Amino acid sequence: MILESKQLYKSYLREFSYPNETNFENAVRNYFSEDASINVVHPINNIQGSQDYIDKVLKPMMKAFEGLYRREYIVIGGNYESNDWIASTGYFAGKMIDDWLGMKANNRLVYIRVGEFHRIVNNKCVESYIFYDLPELMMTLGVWPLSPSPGYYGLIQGPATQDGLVYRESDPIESKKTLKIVEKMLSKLNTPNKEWYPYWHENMLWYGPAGFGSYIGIKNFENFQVPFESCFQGWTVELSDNNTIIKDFLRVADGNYATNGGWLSVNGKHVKRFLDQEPTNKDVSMRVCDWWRREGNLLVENWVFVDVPDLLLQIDYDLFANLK
Amino acid sequence: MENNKIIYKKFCDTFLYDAQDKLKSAINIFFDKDAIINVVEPVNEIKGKEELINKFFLPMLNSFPDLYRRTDIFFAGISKNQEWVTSSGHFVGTFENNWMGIPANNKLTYLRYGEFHRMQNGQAVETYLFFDLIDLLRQIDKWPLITKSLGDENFIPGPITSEGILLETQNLKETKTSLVMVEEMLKNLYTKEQSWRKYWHPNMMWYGPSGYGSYIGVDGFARFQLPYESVFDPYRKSSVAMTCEKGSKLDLAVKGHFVRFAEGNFVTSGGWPSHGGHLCKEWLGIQPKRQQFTCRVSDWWRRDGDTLVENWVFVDLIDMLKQLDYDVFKKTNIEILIN
Repeated sequence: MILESKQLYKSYLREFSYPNETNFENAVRNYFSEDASINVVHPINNIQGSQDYIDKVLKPMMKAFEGLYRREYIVIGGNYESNDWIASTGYFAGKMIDDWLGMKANNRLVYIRVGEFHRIVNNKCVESYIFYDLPELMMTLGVWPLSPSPGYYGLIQGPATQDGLVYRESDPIESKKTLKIVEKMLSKLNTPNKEWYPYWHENMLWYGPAGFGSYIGIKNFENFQVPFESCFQGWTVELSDNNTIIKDFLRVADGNYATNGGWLSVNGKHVKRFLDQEPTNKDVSMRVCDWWRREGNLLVENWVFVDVPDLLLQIDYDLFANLK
Repeated sequence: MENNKIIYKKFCDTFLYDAQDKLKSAINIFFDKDAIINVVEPVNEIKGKEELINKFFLPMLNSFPDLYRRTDIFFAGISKNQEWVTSSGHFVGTFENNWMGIPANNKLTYLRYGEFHRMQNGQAVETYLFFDLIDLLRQIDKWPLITKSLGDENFIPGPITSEGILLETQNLKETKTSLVMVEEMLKNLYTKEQSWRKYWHPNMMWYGPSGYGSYIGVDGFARFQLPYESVFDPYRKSSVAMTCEKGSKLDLAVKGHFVRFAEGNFVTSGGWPSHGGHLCKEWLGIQPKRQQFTCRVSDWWRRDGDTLVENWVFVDLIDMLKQLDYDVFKKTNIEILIN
């Protein structure tokens, strides 16, 4: 089943490999169900069905970016609570010739970082979560209005091993091993003695969303992560702000790779200055997702998205209204 | 040849995760004692592996203690009856201590590289190392040029397909098709009709050195390439075209390519220097005074079916600008220290 779903996704992606304005609409209609629930980061948010996805998301993108195409570096799949899921991450690339989501075109090659998740039922995608790193594009365009991130900012690379496109079947023993390490590591996050440490390679790479930055080495990651966590008091995962439990929508492993996604996942009260915003004491919930790569018994790479514009909006800062 | 790949891959992988401990022994195994090692400005020539360790890699490791290396493109081939291996990608590490006088920024930093090794008896005897130091200066907020880049200045990704590491033997027919296509395309560069266009996918990617930038689409590339072609008079462009006198200083300075080969869908070429001329138009903000300059260049191409779709390029702009009396390090108040 999962192999079929992967093939389905592969054919879908093929239509985006080089610009092909005649076929992408068909590809979307073939891949998504008519009433698919498609969740996209702020300011796009909820999209209902394949036609709206074409009209409201893809067409404006195709118009703004000449020669737009996709380049994935991770494609994995798995079964989560009896559902088949596909998860991928990589970039769109194109020449920005028109404004998009309020961002002014610079008439140059630009990259748009993308991560997405699709639940497949009867060979159709019925539920999707799509992350774009819009702050990264804002930084490229020079319109990011807040302080630069403390870490590296720029294009985020794919796996060091160049083997992230997992269209074949993985060894279930390896997948299980990866999932176990990730779950253990996640359960030890935010513990006083840093019990998450032993699951990581000392020289791990953490590719964070723009605004947070990327870091090499577990100490540098810690120097970012611990102050970040302290901005949000009562930091918990899988609990929404009105105390109803919202589970993450997905957690699967495929060979050496694993992924996790939550659409309202990390929760806490904004009690310290965060991305230039003074504490608001508001409860926030984040749209987040991760991909990990394991080597041996350790996690070595971690790609992360956070819907930063949505998070900022929850603490009363509208990024799109403040673009430089 | 397959043996060379195994040896070279082992060398590349040594830099994954634990360069600190294993670097010395890896270099000792991979390089011949007297290997001639050519490195871009300001390092230039290094004689033998001892010097490579002491003069280059140990200072680099000291500056990037958690250094490791990521290979995006890796293959091998025969050029001028000699065995070669090549790779391109990035070194990455936290830039903790100044390197050759370049100030550290304490952040995750990428150093883009491309390299060629001529192999004899399982060791590298002749080497060319390209690093994009202008890209490093860009990342530490020290843009060293007079002009802004016309293209995108960002991390340069590997092949769209994630299939640039060729460990298995490739189909010889595909290899030949790739090489012929690149050679034909090169012959058609610098032509009035721009007859090089037909060899490229209209949505091709051109990943240029920092300073020149990256472009999408053959028209985007043309916007850079066409003005560039007109800044030399007289010129000698590899073995393709020449307007200078035979035996002139310029003719003798340009060496053409030292290497060119293909494997599967990939092709590479390197020149040290590959082309040159006298500056007759303003370029990168430098005023033309007929200064003679030459360019150390390397390229990797990926073919997909009937066209070339991706092209990664290095030009040693620091060396080129030096010949045009422009010192990028002076401009950024960096005093280069190489022991």
